[in-house]
Amino acid sequence: MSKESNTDLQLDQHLRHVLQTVANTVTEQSAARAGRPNGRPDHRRRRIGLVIGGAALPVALAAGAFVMSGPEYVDQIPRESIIVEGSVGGSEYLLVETRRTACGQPVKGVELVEESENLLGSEWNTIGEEYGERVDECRVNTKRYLANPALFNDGGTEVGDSMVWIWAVHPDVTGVRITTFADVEDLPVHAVDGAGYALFEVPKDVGTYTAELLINGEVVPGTAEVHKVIAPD
Amino acid sequence: MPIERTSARFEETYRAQRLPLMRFAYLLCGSTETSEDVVQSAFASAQPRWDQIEDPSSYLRRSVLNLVKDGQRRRYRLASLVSRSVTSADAIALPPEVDETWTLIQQLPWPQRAVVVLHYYEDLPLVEIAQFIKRSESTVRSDHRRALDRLRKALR
Repeated sequence: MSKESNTDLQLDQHLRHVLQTVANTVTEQSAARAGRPNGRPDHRRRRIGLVIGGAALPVALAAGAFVMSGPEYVDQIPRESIIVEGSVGGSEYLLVETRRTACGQPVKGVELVEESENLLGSEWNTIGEEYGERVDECRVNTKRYLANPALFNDGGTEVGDSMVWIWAVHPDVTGVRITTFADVEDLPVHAVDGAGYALFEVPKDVGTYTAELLINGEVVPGTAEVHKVIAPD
Repeated sequence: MPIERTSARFEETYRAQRLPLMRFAYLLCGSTETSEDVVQSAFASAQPRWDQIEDPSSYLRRSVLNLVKDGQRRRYRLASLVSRSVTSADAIALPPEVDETWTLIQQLPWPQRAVVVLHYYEDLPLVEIAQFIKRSESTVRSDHRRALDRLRKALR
């Protein structure tokens, strides 16, 4: 815009034009492409899907991490369902076996309960992770995953001023190897509902790390992924 | 209301509103992936209480706005990117004069950006924006003025 054209009215019209033009670039096609990064097959994409009862959303929901909320209470978590307790970036967290049900059936998998998002007595608000491919709001298919130990789901959340990342892996997987600029660490895998779950507290000073699945100390081919951490605002 | 009717009404709204909401979300966050996620989340959280929602369009927009805002803070899904800080889906070719202004809008602080999108795209008066985002009218007016000052200065 020229200097002269910068009147309020012209700026008003210009902003409307720009926003409308940008909005119109979002089409059903671009929406369908979203969540399919270059070179990444659908089964491993990190879309945050949703698992909520009721009628099916008329879209394909991705497997992997999902946001959960509902009328459960953080102070009622049974001790025996806690898999990992920890603290990262100044905030406590729990990794627990999920106790949810969907379509009248118990949901499998784990939930990451973050202290600051789940105050005592408050409603449950967590990030969940499950193993397999979500078919619809009621069913998760693990057949293809169980036939190939290289298939997994993962997802994470900000905890305090850092991050926690979770993997849902094949039951034969015994560890997740994390390689950072300074260290190599093998994370333990916890067996829950016929799958394995591993958790990584991303150190605040780590900007990039590589994760690989392990079976008895050997890297499972095709599982290496470079994670680039974007610092929270 | 019978479940089938509710479900049909929900699905109808989904089909009609998904793309407009995606566009609204995109203007707020600048990512088609995130837009798709938050729109799904908005519908999914509305679904169990669909019968009680008087104005689904407004409810869903508010929900999308809050989810994008929350996502800006938490970045729960952006922490791990596999060389995809800009995906092919997000790399959109725009005319230069649009591109320049769009870049500036994306650089606005969150409240200013939200006010700009709600006012100039959703066509909401500032007083309604204040109610929509639960901020005082004076704060919204201030956000709006600051955003315009910033854009005007940058576009000179």
